[in-house]
Amino acid sequence: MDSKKLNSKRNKISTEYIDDNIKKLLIERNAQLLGQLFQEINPFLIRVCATNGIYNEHSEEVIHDTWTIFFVNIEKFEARSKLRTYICGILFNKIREYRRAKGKVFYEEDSEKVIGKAFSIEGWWTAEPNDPHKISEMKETSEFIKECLDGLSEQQKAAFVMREVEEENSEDICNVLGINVTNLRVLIFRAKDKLRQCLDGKISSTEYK
Amino acid sequence: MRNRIEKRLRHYWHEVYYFFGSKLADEIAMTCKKATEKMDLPDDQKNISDHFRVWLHTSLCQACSNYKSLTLALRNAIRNLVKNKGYSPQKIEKLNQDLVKKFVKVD
Repeated sequence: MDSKKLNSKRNKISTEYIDDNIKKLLIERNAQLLGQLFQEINPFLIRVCATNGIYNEHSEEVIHDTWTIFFVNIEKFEARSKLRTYICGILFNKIREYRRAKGKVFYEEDSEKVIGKAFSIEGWWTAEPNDPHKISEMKETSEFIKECLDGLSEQQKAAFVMREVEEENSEDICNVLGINVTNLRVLIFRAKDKLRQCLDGKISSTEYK
Repeated sequence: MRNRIEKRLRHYWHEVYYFFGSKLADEIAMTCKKATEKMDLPDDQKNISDHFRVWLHTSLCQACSNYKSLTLALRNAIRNLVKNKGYSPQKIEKLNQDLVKKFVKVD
């Protein structure tokens, strides 16, 4: 493909479903395309690393590994999700490996029972969420959130960050995480619920100090 | 006392509707479970009626209104957290150049 044609697609390669021509250029490791792709996706990958508590040279290491896996497997990529979401899926696997190596990884069973417990049979809250205004007001909030994010399982964190923070499409997230829409809803609900409980605990312990 | 009644009314608003047997209420009312389920869906997967029913429910139910505010507060707080921990443009540029050097095939 000539550079003119590539430029016409210049706007959003990473957030669109790619065609065979772009895939071919990726396989050929076209310099112009790769430069554009790194520019578009790397700030996003850095943000995802940060939400997982990985910074600086550690995040660079994880991002290098992510791109390596991407280029090794590019021929198998079926373009069922957007490039950015697909790469984000690889990044989450790499983050899981990194955290496992640090002994920080843990899994939890997230079934619909979790949502069932939060509501009565009639559909009312069993424990009502409190007004979250303190979350936005306290200066320690970002420190608290960093700590509370660490308490989420890998899947909860991935689902929450991709859906709520990066506003990725649900279908894509499901493809990347290998889950269905119901699982996604459970993971997001659980993540919010755990963050809420963790923050409530931290905020009230600060108030009593 | 007044607050307690208000809170109870806000939380059990559709029971009040049901008590008066409004047929319209049957169509527009939602349980908290259903409302949060709709809230967690992306906007493009909700129709106008869903938006309206969620809006009505959260306007009247304090707990669900808190749940909605919590989502927004968390989203903003996490965005601020990652923004502050972000790389400088120069550092990102260097990372991009390193990756180009590593992955671009030179004929």
